[in-house]
Amino acid sequence: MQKKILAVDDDPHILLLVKTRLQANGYQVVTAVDGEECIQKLLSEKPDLLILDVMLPKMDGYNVLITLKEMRMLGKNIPKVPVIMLTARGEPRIRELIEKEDIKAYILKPFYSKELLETIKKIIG
Amino acid sequence: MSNDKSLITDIVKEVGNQALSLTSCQPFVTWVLENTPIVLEHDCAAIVIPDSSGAKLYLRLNQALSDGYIQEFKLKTIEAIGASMNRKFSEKDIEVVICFHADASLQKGRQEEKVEAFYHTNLIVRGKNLGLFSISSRKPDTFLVYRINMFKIFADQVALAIDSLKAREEVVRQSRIIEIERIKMQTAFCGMAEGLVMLDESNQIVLINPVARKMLGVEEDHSGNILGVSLAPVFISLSEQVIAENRLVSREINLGKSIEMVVRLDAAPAMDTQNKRLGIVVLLRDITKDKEIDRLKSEFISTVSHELRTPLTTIRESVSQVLDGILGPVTAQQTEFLSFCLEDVDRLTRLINDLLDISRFEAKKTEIHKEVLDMVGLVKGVHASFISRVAAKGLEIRTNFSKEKIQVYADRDKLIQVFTNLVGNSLKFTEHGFIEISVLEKADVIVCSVRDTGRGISEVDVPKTFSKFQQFSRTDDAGEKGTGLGLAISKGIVELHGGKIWVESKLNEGSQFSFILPAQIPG
Repeated sequence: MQKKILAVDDDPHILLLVKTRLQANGYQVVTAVDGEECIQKLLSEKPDLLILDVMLPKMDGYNVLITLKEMRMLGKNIPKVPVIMLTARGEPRIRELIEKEDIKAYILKPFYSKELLETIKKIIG
Repeated sequence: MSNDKSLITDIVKEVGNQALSLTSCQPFVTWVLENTPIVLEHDCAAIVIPDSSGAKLYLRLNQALSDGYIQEFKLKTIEAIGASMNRKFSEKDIEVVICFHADASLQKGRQEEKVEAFYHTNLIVRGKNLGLFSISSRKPDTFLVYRINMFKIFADQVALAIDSLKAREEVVRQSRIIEIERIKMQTAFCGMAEGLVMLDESNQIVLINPVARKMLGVEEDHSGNILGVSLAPVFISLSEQVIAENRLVSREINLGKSIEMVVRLDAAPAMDTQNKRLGIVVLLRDITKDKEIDRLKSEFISTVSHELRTPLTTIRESVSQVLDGILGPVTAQQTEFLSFCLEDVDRLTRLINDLLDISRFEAKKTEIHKEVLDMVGLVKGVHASFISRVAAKGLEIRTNFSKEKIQVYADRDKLIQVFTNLVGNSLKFTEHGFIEISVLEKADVIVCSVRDTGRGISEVDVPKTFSKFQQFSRTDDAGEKGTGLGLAISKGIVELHGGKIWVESKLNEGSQFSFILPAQIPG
């Protein structure tokens, strides 16, 4: 079955490029442009993987993850999705973040599509 | 004779009274010379008080005398004091204070007069020679025994009085010095831009300056225990730590209520001159502005980083997708040109990454995440990542370890960055021969080095090797273009670990870059 990936980025060019690349490699792709839309699409689309930017309008990437966790703690039925952080911020705390729940990888922009695809393959096949 | 005796008793009493009513020697000595009993029948009297540089000679003439006589009396007195103190006084060492001088007109044209009688006695108290008292007369045999005895009694009293006056003068002098020092300290203490608080061992406020009062909101009349102050718990814990560890302890606290105010506290043990602990001294510095500048620096770095990476991502991925044929077939020439584009996007990315690394070092914003790691394993990883590139150039890459496992407490990613930089440089500048990475464990350091048989660095260039944007002896075929920042970054990383990096090189023979890291592993 085709795996579904939710890609979230506020930059329309990057979003389109990620979508094209993933589709060309056989994935089904849905997109969101801010943190709130990301949560809506997560609930409605039930993707197998989330590719998440950090700096996003309305709610940033980390807050999206925190919100999901809180909702789950409140007993809401939120499915757990593996996450790849794809960000332009030179965050120095990479390893600590990876250890956080759900985040499986951290890829810095500009990314190598080969690295992105290999990482996705490792996580969802 | 009996009259003379009662006279001397009276005068001796009076010496005591005078000494008590005065605070310094000079007016007393003047008084003594004026009141030296006239029954001694002297024409001239002098008291000499020596000091460290010379002596003061107080001179009293009972009547007009010839200049020659006065000079002769002075010289005899100076000679006597010199002999009694075993010290040579020349005339210029002596300051003469004339206490009374006869009318100058009477002095002039006097016939030559000679000192016919001269007597002197030392002013001695408890074996201490304070000076000399001398008298003279133009008439021979003036100083008969009973007069001399009287003079000695009088002089002994004068000596006692001078001794106590000198002690009093010393007290006054010392207290003036103390007062001046106190004013200096007070001025510095109140005028300094930092707050200063001193606590004793029971946390009582011993000292607090106006700036510290203002920072801590301590009232002018508040004294005593720190407990009344809002920050008491911070001070008490600082005090406990300083006393337990006996060293400077620093802390930053936010004092701001409506507006932010960050204060840095540096607490140090307060010791007296005998090294006895008195408590602690705390220096309070408002570092709000420094903090704000720090925050702006970090924000700048991360904004620049974000703003530059986003367009690069678009460029890289667009070109890459065209190249990969996702959007349709590409000609050989298009492929070639698009590859140039990708290469330079990657170069630009490296440059941005390096510039950000350097900015973080300069802004002291580099975070390191130390862990206990095995250098042998780490270096083997770096070695493996280079094997194919090294082989492609027809070179050899070796490793050399002093032990099978060498533990170090360091940041894994950052050390990999250093080795990758150094090996990458060697690869760039070596045409034949080998590259060797070695890690050796010494007594208290770990010595790491990357040696090559490359073209080396000329003596002139060696000192500039670790500076920013220094690229020398590169050729066009040296492969991937560098940023000129790699060694500066490596230096920054090694120094952040408390280590040192250096290079030894000989032109056309090769280079050896070495760095040491402290070998301590935290318990």
